[in-house]
Amino acid sequence: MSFRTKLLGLFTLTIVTAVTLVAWGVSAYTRRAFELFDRQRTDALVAQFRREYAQRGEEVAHRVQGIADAEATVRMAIDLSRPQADASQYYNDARGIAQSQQLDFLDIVADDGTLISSAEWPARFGYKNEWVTAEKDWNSQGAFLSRVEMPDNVDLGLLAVRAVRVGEKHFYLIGGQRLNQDFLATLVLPETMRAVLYRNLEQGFVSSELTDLHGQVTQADLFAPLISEVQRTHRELQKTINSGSDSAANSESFDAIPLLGRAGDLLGVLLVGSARQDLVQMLNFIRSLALLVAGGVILVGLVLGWWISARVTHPIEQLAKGAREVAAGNWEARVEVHSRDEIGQLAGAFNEMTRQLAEQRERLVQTERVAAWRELARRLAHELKNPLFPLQLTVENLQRAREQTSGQFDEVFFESTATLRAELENLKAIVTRFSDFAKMPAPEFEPVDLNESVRGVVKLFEPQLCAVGRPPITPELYLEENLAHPQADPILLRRALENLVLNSLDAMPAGGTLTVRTSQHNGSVRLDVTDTGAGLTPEECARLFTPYYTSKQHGTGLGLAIVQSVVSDHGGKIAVESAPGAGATFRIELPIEHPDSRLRTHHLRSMPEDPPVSSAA
Amino acid sequence: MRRTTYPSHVRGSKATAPISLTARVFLSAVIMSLIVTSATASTSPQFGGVLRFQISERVMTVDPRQWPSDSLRAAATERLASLVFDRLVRFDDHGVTQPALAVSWQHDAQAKRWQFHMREGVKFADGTQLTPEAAALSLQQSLGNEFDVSATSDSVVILADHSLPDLPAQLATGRYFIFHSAADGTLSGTGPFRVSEWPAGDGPAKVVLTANESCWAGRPFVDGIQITLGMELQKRANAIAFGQSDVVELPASQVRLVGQRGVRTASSDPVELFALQFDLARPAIQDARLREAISAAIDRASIADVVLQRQGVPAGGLMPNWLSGYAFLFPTALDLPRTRELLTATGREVSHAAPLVLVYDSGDEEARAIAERVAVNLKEAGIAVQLSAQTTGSASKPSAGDMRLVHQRIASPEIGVALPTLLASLGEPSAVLETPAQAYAAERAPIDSFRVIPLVHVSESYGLGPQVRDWMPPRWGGWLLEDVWLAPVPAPAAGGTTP
Repeated sequence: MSFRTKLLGLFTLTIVTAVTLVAWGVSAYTRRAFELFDRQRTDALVAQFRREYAQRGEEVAHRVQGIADAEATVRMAIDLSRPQADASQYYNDARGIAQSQQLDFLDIVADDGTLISSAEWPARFGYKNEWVTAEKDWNSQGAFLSRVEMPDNVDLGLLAVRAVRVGEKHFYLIGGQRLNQDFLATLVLPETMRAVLYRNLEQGFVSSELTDLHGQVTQADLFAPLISEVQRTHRELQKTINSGSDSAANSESFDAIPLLGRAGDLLGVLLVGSARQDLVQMLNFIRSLALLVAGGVILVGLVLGWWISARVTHPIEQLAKGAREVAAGNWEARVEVHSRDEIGQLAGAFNEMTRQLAEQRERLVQTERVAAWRELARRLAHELKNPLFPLQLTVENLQRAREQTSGQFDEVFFESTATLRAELENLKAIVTRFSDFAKMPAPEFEPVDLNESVRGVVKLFEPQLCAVGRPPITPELYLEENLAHPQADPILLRRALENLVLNSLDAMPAGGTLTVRTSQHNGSVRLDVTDTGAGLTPEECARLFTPYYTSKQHGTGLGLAIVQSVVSDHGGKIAVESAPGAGATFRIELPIEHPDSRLRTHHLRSMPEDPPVSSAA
Repeated sequence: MRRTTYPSHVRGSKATAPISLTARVFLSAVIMSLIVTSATASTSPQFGGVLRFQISERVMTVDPRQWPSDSLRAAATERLASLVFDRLVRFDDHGVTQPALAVSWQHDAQAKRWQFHMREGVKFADGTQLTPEAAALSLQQSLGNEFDVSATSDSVVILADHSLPDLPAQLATGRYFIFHSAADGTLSGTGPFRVSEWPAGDGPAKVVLTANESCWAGRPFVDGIQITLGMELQKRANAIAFGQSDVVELPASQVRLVGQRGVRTASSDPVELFALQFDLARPAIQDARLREAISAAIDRASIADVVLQRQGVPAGGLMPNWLSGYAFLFPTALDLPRTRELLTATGREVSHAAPLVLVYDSGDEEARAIAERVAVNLKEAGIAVQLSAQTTGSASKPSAGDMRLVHQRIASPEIGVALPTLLASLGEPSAVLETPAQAYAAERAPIDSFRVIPLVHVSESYGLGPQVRDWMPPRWGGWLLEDVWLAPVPAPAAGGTTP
């Protein structure tokens, strides 16, 4: 992922996050404000219900008190207090009185609790309401919620009891009004609110007992969990009830207010509901608006971010391009940046750095070239000085031999000429090696059996391994069968092997073990040549493959350089692992397929792209 | 062969009609009162005026050929029809058959052939002469093809293939009126009134009857009657209380209340029966012990005294005691221990059993009140009851209740007619009852098996306005509006204030 893409992504992420946070904040604030407003409305309605409820109770108590105070009631009480009183004549009275006083319930009860007349259930006369006689002072008590037995069912009423005293006897008037949907009609409700009454007259949840202004509530079962919870706790609760397919738009939040009887028993539940449709619509509008604005802002931000990131990353891209050119060897690469900011400063520093690098490189090349020539001169001087000294002695012997007899002279002559020939051959060999290194041919690739090459080289050096007069060196070969045949030049490869083996033999003047191992790894073949010699120091490892560097008395310093050159021409790698006293292992890895190695041959010879790896413990 | 002859029954006449015994006695009393006490003219019977009458039943027609099957509606229809039509015979105040359009009758030894000698000089309201042929034609249509009705020169002969010992008593009640059908289908009778207006429809309707000037028994005192049919109870009670009606039909439960408002009331002997009738096809009620438990759990006295405001009598039998004389033999007392004992014996887990369905007529206020009381009694005894109000009548489908509260009118002051009629209407087998023992046995059968549980007998009651005079119906109910007259409205006192 490019820096520009990252920068653009960062811009986008920042904008989206910011817009999202703003939209969420506005939505949350609006929701909270609306819910607060809704809460206030609900609280007001609940307070209104409580007032209406208390007022209705006072009205009921007042009406029942009015009945108790009426002259006709007193006359009836006096009449009924007489022995052998005929209570049957008052059988129909309760209904008429209840109608005149707009009461739904009215029972006239004798001193012993016997029902004399009932407006709501006239047929129940003669049976007792014992609970009414248990209370001593009804007249000081207000209205209360109670179950009212009806002929076919049980009703819920707001009742008040008043007693009329005649002598020692009391007559009771139990009057009340039904608590049903008509009572809900007295509540002034905002348009989006409604009041629902649940009459808790039976065990469990009974959907038919849930009514609102329009009668039985549809989808009453949705209220079952809330009602059940109130039935269990007898406490006020709040709950949101969803209905319909679009549950969010059709949801209502309900406040459930338990309505308790005298004994604290739950007789009803008032549910004050507030439709959340407006809230949902408003939130949906805000959400849509936020999405629209956010989309626009994000789009503008993307364009702006792209433009800004392009402006920011262009100099950096130029820098990257310049860096790549420098890496590719173009030391003259420069970056054209005209800004004065940090990027411009960076570009200037880059240009200065490349300029200085080029100058340093030039100086380094010249220095290395001088050093190489000095080393070459030193080697040449050293290589040539060794044969020159015998030549000089031989010539001097030969000059002195002229003073001797001819027989002696001949003997000296022949010995001297042999020596001269030998040393000249030696000089010739030295010149040939330098010439060969200079004329390293380009490899010609063909499949090469590396194991066979290894066996051939080891066999070639067998006489030296077991040479008389020197400690023996034991060869050990670990060659992997079915080793792939890498594309390589067999002659160059064999030459490299010979140099490695020869180097190992030189490293073990006291004898030891020469181990050669082949293996195959991830598309390449590996060759390990290990000796048990004195090992190398880290400094020696670092310079080991430098041409003309040698740690031996009579080496040219070209052996391992040739090896490194061959391996490089084959696109392979060479590395050395060694530690003083622990021998050394040279590892060559050659790619099995290397079709374009020819193209790189010449260049690699002078400037290996992938330098050899050395490591020393 | 037996021959019975009774004196004629005639009312006072405005024109040339012979003066009836009642009228003569009445006139004598008036003359004596005028002579002795110098009483005012307002105490004398007065001709004129229109009697306003309101009843609950919506009688659709008085045509004897379209007689309703429902007992209460049939009774209402009969009361209305008796104002327009006469029968061959009638019951007197003691329940004895007396001559009406027939002056005498006789039958053969097997009581299969009856011959009724017709009164002469009687005309229908449309002026047509009453002939034996016309009377025979009327009766043939009413009696049906089971009987062979024929006419002689002065009599009507009725032949049956079985003995008819109570035929005169049967002909004295029910649909057996003598009528004449004109060419346009209009019916005329020989009764004291003729129909002037009879609106169609199902709702409340005002029927107008006009005095039959040529009535053989004499012209009625009032010029006409406006009878409002199908009026609700509350409207009737208000109408009589506020002087908007002269006579209103009252349910028993309202008699005392209306009386407490200063309205005169008049009640007959108990002539209506409220009873529980069980549908034995229903599995829930097939155990006779459960039905007996229900009977023992009902507090009949409280129904009679409280619900019906002492206008009813606890009923153990189907027939009221004044009619049968043996009704006291049937127990009526509340017996809750017996109820509990029977319920235990049935093994019925009443608290878990499905409620029994008690059906009652939705249009009958008294039935509703009694049904509710029965339900309370049974609930307190441990038998759950669910009330079901249904509209009874010809158009209604059979009820699906376990028991039905039936409200029946005693059809006749003659037990030999009344009991078989009631048994038949209850779906019970009936037979010819010639002796009290036979009647008792026939009545006992459905009661002992608890197929029918009598509850109360109820009077027929009316509220009377201050102007109504001589309201003297028979003790078994019905109307004698031809004898009723309206006192003049008292003039405002001199020097009274004018609003």
